[in-house]
Parts: sequence; C-alpha cells; structure tokens
Amino acid sequence: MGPMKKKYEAGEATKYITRAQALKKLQLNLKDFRRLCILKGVYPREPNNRKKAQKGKLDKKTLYYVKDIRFLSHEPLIWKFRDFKVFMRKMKTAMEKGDKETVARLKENKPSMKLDHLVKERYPTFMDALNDLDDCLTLCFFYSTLPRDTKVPANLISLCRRLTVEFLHYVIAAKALRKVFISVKGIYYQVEIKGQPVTMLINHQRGFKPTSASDVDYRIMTNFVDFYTSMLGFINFRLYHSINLQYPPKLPGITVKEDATDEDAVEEYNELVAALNSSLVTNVPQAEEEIQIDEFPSAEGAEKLEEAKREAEAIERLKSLFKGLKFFISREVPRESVVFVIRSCDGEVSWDPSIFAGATYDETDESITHQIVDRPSVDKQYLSRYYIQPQWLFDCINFRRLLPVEDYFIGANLPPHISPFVTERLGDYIPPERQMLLALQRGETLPAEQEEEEEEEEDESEDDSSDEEEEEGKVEKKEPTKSQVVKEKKGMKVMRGRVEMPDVKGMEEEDKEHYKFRELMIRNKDKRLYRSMMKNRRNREREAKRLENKRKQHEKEEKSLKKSTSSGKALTAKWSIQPLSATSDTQTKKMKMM
Amino acid sequence: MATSTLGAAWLVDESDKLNKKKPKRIVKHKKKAWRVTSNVEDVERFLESKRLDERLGAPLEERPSDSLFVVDTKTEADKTVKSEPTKKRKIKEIGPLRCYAILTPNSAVTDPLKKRNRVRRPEERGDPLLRKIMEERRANGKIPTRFLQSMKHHQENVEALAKKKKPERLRTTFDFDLWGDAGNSLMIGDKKVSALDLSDELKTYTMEKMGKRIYSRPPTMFKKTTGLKPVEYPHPGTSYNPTYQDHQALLKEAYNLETKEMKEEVRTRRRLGPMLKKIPVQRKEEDWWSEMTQGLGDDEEPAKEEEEEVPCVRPTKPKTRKQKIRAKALKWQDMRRKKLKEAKKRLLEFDRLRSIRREIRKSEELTAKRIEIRKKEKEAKMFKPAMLGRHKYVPPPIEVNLSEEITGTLRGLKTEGHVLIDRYKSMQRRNIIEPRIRQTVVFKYKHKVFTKRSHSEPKGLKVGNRDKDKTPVQ
Repeated sequence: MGPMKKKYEAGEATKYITRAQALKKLQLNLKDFRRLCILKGVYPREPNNRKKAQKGKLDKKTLYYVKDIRFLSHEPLIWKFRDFKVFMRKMKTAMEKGDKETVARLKENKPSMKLDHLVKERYPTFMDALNDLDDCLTLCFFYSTLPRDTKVPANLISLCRRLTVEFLHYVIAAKALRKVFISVKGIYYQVEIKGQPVTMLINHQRGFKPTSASDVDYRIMTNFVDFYTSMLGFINFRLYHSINLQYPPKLPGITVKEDATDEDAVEEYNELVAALNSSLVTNVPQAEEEIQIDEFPSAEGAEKLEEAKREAEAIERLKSLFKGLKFFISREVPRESVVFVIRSCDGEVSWDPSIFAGATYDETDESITHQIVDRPSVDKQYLSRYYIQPQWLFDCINFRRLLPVEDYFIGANLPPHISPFVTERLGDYIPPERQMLLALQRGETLPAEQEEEEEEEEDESEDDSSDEEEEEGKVEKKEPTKSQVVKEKKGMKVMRGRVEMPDVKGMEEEDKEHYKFRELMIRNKDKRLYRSMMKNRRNREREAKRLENKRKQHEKEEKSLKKSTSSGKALTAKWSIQPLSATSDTQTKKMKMM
Repeated sequence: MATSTLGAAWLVDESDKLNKKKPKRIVKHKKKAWRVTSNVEDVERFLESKRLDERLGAPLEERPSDSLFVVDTKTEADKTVKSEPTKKRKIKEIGPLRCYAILTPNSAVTDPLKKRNRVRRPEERGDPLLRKIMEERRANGKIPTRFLQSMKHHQENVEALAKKKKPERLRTTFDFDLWGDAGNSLMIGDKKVSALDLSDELKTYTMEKMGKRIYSRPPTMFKKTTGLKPVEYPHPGTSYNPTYQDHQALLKEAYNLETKEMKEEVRTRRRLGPMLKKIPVQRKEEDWWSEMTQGLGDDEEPAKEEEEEVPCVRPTKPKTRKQKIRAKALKWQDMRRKKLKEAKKRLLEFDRLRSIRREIRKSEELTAKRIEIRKKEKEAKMFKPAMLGRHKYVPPPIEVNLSEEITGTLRGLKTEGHVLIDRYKSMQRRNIIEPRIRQTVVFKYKHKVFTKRSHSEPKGLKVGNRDKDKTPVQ
C-alpha cells in the first residue's frame, strides 16, 4: 500500500477549475476573461458531480475545464489585452493632464488585434464554419440595424451592414433561398449553402426597440459580433470565389476607387450595392450546367432516388420561379426583404426612387406584371398588371410554385401564412392548407377545375363529413382554379386497352391478415413498446380527427356568416379561416376556447 | 496776543531742549562727503530715462510716425465669412498668450559680456572660413550629391509614412482564403515552415525546435455543448397570419404558462400571508428588548449551581496484562469462528449454484438497464440548459399576438419579442454563456464623523500629564 490518498487530488476534482481561479491563473480581469472565452469558444461546463468538482464546496460556481484554461493561457491575444490596458492607462494620464499632443500620438498607435487565427482554429474546415453560420448571420443582421447612438461602436455597425449585404448578394447570385417564414418576431429565411441548410432570423424593419440592462448585456453580444464579423467576412470571400464573383462585390458599369477621398461617392456606391438590384461582376463568365443525379442501382433505394429526383426538380423550379416577371414595389412594403426574395428567384424588381437608391424602372412602365401593394386600395391602377399583397411572394417560395394571384389581390382577405418549417409525424393532424403545401412541394401539379364545380363539391363534402381520410382527394377538391401559369390541356383522350383488374379487395384482406400475424410474432420483450407506440398513434389520429371536425365546423360557421353579411361579394377565400374577421361571434368563441 | 505768543515761544523752547539732537558734522573737503552733500537727482533721472530707452527702444516722440501708425489707403475686398476658427487656429492667429509674453525678455540692451557661453545658432556653428566657401559654392550651383541624396531619401520616407496603412482596429478587409494555403500558414505562424513540403506533424515539430511551439486545441472544445439548433424553427402559430388551429395551440401554450405562474403567485401569497403581519413599532421594540435580554437576568445563578453539580471525571485506568491477554484470546476466537462460518457457507453454496447463476444474470440485467437509462439521461441532458452558475436559466415568455391583434396584413403587423433577447436567451439555453443577473456596483463610502477641535477639547493624554497618570500605577 502506498501513501494515503488525499481527497480531491484525482478524478473529477482535477478536471475543473472555477472562474475565480481561472482569472487568477490568466492574470486577467473578469471583463477581459469573458471576452477571451467568447472569442476562443471556451464555455463553462456543468460537472457530473458538483461537490467533487468544487472540492467539497456546496455553493454553485461557474466551472471550466482545466485543459481549456491551460489552452487559453497560450493565446497571444492575452498580450494584446495587456497592451490595451497599458494604452488605456497612458491615455487616461494624458487626458487628465490635458496633454493633447500625447493623446493624439497615442491614439495613432492604438493597439489592434486580428481574430483571423481564431476563426481558423475554431473552424478548421469551411464546412465547420458553415455549420455555425446561423448564429453569426442572425446577430450580424441585428447589429446592422442598430442606430448609431447605441453603446455599440459605429464602425462595427457599418461593418455588419456591409457584410450582411454581401451575404445577401451571394444568396441572390447562387439562388440559394429555400424557405421563408414571416413570424411575429422577424422573418426566418432558410438558405442552402453547399447542401447545408442555414437558417437565419432577421428582425422586422421597425424602429429600434431599446432593451433594459437586465434583459441583455450588450457588451457580451458585441464580443460575439466582433468575432462573427471576421468569420462572416472570410466566409463571404470564400463563397464569392466559389461562384466566381469578385470580392468585395463590384457593380458592373460603376467604378469607384477604393481609396477615394470623396466620402459621399463611396457612400452612394455602398447604397447602390445595398439596393441588391443588380448582379455583380463575375471573374469568369459561367457556363450553365445542369446537375444530374447519379444513378446507383439499388433495389430498395429506388423510391428514395425517385423522391430525391423530384426534390431536385422542385428546387430547380424554385430557382427560376419569378423568371420573366417584372415587379414594382410600393412605398409601404418592406423593400429589402421583398427585393431579396424576388431577386433570389430570378425576378426583376424596381421601386420608387425616393425610397432607396438603385431603382431601375418607373411605376409607369407598361411591362410590369406585378405590383406589390400593402394598402387597402390604390387610386390609379394599371390594367396590365396584378396588384398583389407581399404575402404572395413568400407563399410562392414556400409552395415552390406560382400561386393563383386572386387570393392575394389588393384588399383581399389573405389565406393564412403557413410555416414551412413544420414536420409532421404519422397520424398528426395536418390542416388543409398545409396538406396542399406538402402536395405542391412533393411536385404534384395543380389540376384545373371549374370554380363552380369546386364549390358544389365542397358543399357535398361538408354534407357527408364523416370519413374523409384521403388527403389527396381533398386537396384536389380545394384546388384554386384560374392559375395563369399552370395550364393543363383538357380534352386529350387517349384510350388504353383494358387490363384485367386484380382482386383488390381480396388482396387487401390478405394483407391485413399478414399484418396481424406479424403483430403476433412480435417478441414478448418488444410487445409493450409496440403497444404503447400504437396507442400513441391512435391517440394522435383521434386528436387529428377531432381537430378536423372542429375545423369543418368553424368553416361552416364562417361561411354561413359570410353569406349572411355579404352574399353578393365574390370573395374567394378558399382555404380560409380568417383569424381576424373581427366578428364578435368568433371572438367570443375564441375566448371560450382559451 | 503778545502773552499768548510768549507763552507759545516758551513752550517751544522747552520741547526743543528736550528733543534736539546735535547735527552730525560733516567734513566737507573729503570726497566721501560729496555723496551726502551734492544733489545728483537730475543726473540720476537722466540716467534712468536712458536705461529705460535702452530697454524699450527710443521714446515714442523720437520714433518716426511710420513705425507707429499705418495709413489705411486701400479699400478692403469683401472677405468671405469664415467659419468660427477652431481653438488651435485662434491661438496661432493671436500669437502667444499675454501671460506668457510678459515673461519673455524684451530688453534692447546688448549683452555686456561678449564672451558669454551660449548655444550657437546653426549658421554660427563651424569654421567660418569653410562656411564661407560652402556658401560661395552653393551660390554657384554646386550642391554635394550626398546632401541631395539624403534629402531625396528623407522625402521618400515621409511619403511612405503618410501612405502606410494604419493597422485596422476592426478587420474590414478580407483578401485571402482563410481555409486555403494562406490560412494554413497563418496557423503555423511561419511562412517558411508552412511553405515546406512536409507533413503537419513534421511542421509542428520544426516549429517546436525553433522555439515556437504550436498548442493544439483540446478536442473537448470541438464538442457541441448542446443538441439544440442555434436558430430554432418557429412555432407555426407565430406566423403573422396564422391558421386558426396553430394560433389557438400557441395561445393555449402561453395561457397555460401564465396560469401556472399566477397559481404559483397565489400560492406563495397564501403561504407567506400570515408571516407578513403588521406589527406596531412599540411592540416590535418590546420584542427586540425581550429577545436581546434573553437569559441576561437569570444567567448567573444557574451557572453556579451547574458548576457544583458536575462530578469530576476520573482518569481511565490502563488495562492490566492479564486483561490484555484475555482480550486478545477472545479476538482470535471470534475470528476463527467467523472463518469457519464462512467456509461452511461456501460449502453450502455448492448446492445453490443454479440460484446463484440466476442472481448473477439478474444483476447483469440491472446494470445493463441502468447503463441504458444513464445513456438516455445523458442524451436528454443535451437538450436542456445546464446549471452553469449560480442562477438558473429562465425561459423567455412566449411571443404571440392575441386574436384581436392579428390584422392579417404585413403593414398592420404587431411585432412581438426582440431578436437580440432571443439570441441572448438562446445562447444561455445552448450553454454558451451562463445565465446571470446584472450586478450594479453601488459605491458606499463610509461617512466620516469627527468633532471640530474648536468645539470640544481633544480627548486623550496630554503630554504634560503623562507623569501624573503613570504615578498611581506604579
């Protein structure tokens, strides 16, 4: 037997270090330490056994891995922090002495630091960086909208603005936008970069909402943004070069020297870039090439392959969704998001030149096909174009298809804006709007039907509202009609030779029997799990059915109401429950619900 | 009148007699006396005026009027209105401030000591003869190339310094591929080494030998702290124009949360209610008194009683040898008995082999089950905020528009929530930063109280009294 072992000299206790100890070890103050941790990506850890990790102390402390802190101690940035501390001390002395010359000289030689090596260290490969882009983009987008008089340094704000605009340009050029969702908090965009989905949240363009100090610590967030700007810059560089664009972005036809002294000219140019309305200068003219999915012969993967193919086709369609369409944006519509969405689906767009620089054509242009309007009525309307509400654009992208414009006309009650981010399990309730979206995403076409027929059918379906399980049938019935893009020719009749139909009923019975046998064959060990699974599924189905019935009831009520109020109006709210019909009836009902 | 004058004269005479001193006698034919006797005031006045002239220049009357006045004959052209000069420029225009100007010497008198040691001006330095030759040459247009070259270099240096870019406080130019070769050399920190055709290991080894060790990032730092997504997918009910069901579902969630909170509040109020009674000040004081004087009055007597009662502890007696031997024997016996029992048990267990096997299997199953449970727990932990510090993570409130707030148009949208708060909370949820409550530092300076010296006599020993105080002690 060796010497007696002391407590807390091995195991869990040696793995962790408290924050105070770390500060002492690194000889930094708390502010600098936090900053260093954020920049280096060192996070506090929760121990498995807190008592052991804290060497017997019971109060909850912030703990770090000892190895992490040891690694931090080799960081050259610490020396920069120390330099900066000395610099601040000198500055303070000079300021208090009123020694302006010294202050000016010191300011000239202010110590600066680069974070390049940190970006590379934290993300050794480009894909790693792309994986972590969500946070980076969301924060940078937020910082770009901050007013200048916040505590955040102004140059950081303008840098964020520049970088985010550059990123939007990339998305437009690469046609990488996949999903959009307007929520109450902000607008969610999903972008696909190198097969990697990147989700970002951009706040609505409203006034700056101040936060209280207890809500957010701006100093911490600024440290994050400091790092993220470096990261986003290098990512932008790489992304631009991956699609042969020049970086920093250059607009064709306009030349401004980089070291131009005229600040106004530079600012104007930056604004033109931020308008997002013209494609950038490329290094090499690119040849369009179609991506073909390689086919690997595999027995069970055939279905998946088919699905993947369909998905790829849908994405191709999405990329050139607005091709050939010419949009004009009214003043009240949020310009940037709308322009971004249109341009990333290959559309042409312009706006009133008084809102923002970079407008390409006027409102009087006769070739405009769509005007995006978000007000109840417009005085002077052109016959040659549709006046639609902005939701149409976003819904089109989510549906990956041009939707009929009738539902989105000016002043119309809009169909609900459905989240494209929802994934359902088997047996879950899927509202009819969502069903339609799914069907469209799967690549099924909109069948053309007459409106009257549809109405009738709907009535019928309401009558026999007992078992309607088939999604597809329902969706088809609910299809809108006068789609101007998707037209299917009618009256084509090619008769085929009849094939003898197999005994479907019998086969189904047999299948059922087989299924039952298989259920019997389940091991005792797994039986309980299986039962609970099936039970859950049945519950979900029941819930779905309940909701469906409720929905039907609701729609019926709505319809009767509408008929009673405005029977003459041809309001075609097809998949509509309008949450804000503002009638007292529905509202009281909602209150009861709650 | 006469009497009065007489009287006065008499009085005067009296005083004269008393006060009169003898005038000092001066020897008039000696040079020493000249200073006393002669009146040189006019000379001195002249000399003084001359000195003044020397200091300040000629008197104003003698100066030509051109040097004093300017006749303004030209009409002034309309000057553009200049903006208010800056402080710096103002000083330049005015010249040195008067407070400094007074201090500068302004005498017109030349230094009487001609050989006074002083710093020579550049044009006075050096050999005057050589200087003269140089000047002649320069006048002829012969300038040494050395000088020209140095001037050129100087000019170049100045230009280069002006052109030189200052290091950016914030990185704004991104002009290389970080994930390409440039990035690799950045990490290695030495261009020559990174350019070598070697493996990464060899490169780090080389660097180590050069005295520049590369510290690699510990692999735990690459692990994700959470399984949550950085930007969570929003609830479909948060759409600005949601479907009825989605919105109701979200509302219900928010409602449940709110009711839970309210219930909790009611509960705490009910529980704390009786504790938060109002007590009049008088009773409070009384309570305080009774509490503070607890056991003071009747403290002494019982203490004495206790002292009397406590019996004195007898020291333990050591065991005798006999006792020790006996104890040892007993111990041995005990051990032997136990061993026997063990052996017997083991023998009996041969019959129990099957049940033992069952037991083993059962325990193994249990451990396997536990391992699985722990694994699941660990996985579930990845989706929960950890306890990183003193404070617990508080989830943000659900952002939802009420039914009457939904307008269904983008223009009439009422925004909820704040993106930055959302990010901040998300980072806390994902264990990147610890949740904390902002501390505000309040400087509490101690109030220093002292009595004025004039108001009361200072306490303490006086120097004179020291002995007096000491004596009674001795």
